[in-house]
Amino acid sequence: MFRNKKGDDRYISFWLFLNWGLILGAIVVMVLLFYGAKMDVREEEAKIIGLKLADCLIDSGKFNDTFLSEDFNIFSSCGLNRDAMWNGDYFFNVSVFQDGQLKKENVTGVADFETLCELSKTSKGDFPLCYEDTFHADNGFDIKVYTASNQAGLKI
Amino acid sequence: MKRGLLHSKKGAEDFLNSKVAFIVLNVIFIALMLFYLLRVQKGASLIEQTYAKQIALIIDQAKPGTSLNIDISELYSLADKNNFGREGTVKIDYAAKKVIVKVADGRGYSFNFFSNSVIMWSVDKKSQKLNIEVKENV
Repeated sequence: MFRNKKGDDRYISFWLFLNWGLILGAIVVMVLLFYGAKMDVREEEAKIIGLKLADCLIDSGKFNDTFLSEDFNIFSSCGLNRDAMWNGDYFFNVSVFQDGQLKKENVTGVADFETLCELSKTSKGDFPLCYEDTFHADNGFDIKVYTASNQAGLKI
Repeated sequence: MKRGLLHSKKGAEDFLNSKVAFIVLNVIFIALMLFYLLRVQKGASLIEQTYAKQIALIIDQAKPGTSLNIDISELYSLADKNNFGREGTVKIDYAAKKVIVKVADGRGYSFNFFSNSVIMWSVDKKSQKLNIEVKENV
């Protein structure tokens, strides 16, 4: 009886602090999860590489057949830096087909990314993000680009 | 009778005191939470990351001959707040192909770009804009 009567004025109690602690903990966890997450631009990077490649291999709707020559430098022609492409964060595969026949292929960067990208379609995990497209040129050529990026950035 | 009256007065006082303390503590708790949320929201690391990535993507996408102006006043105000010199706020390391953004001492964010173009950059302190010129690499 006595304890019940006194209970009315017990505003500040252990349960109050526990309640606050739980609310505060939940807010801190949510904030850390939200702001701690990577601002992911890997998909955009992969797309930019793909579009740059397509842009330099197709000129006014026609396939730039200098790509088929042995001394074609894809890096300087397409505005991509060779060292950056080989730094372990990127991958690209350009394949040129004529009437369904593969004429030439150029593979640069981490080759595993192509497999990992395929894997990301069926499994969850921190895989590189990819871009894939096929461009049709007027002179009967098809250019297939497959690009990937896994750059996360660096806190210094 | 007297004792009863005294007792109830004291009880009422206690009740009032605990109610006031409860309200004051609640207000402090809510204020602390809001302060924490606002601080995190305006956090430097998120802004550093945003600018570094945006600048790198803009450089990667730009064709030779492009000139760009990027407003960096937000970075400057954060750098001022942290007593960090404005000089080192944004740096484009053309040789290392990196964009580095810093608004406080001893920290920052770096993001690589892959464009092969020559990047010329400067900061207009008056308009607080980052000027980038993308030139063909010959």
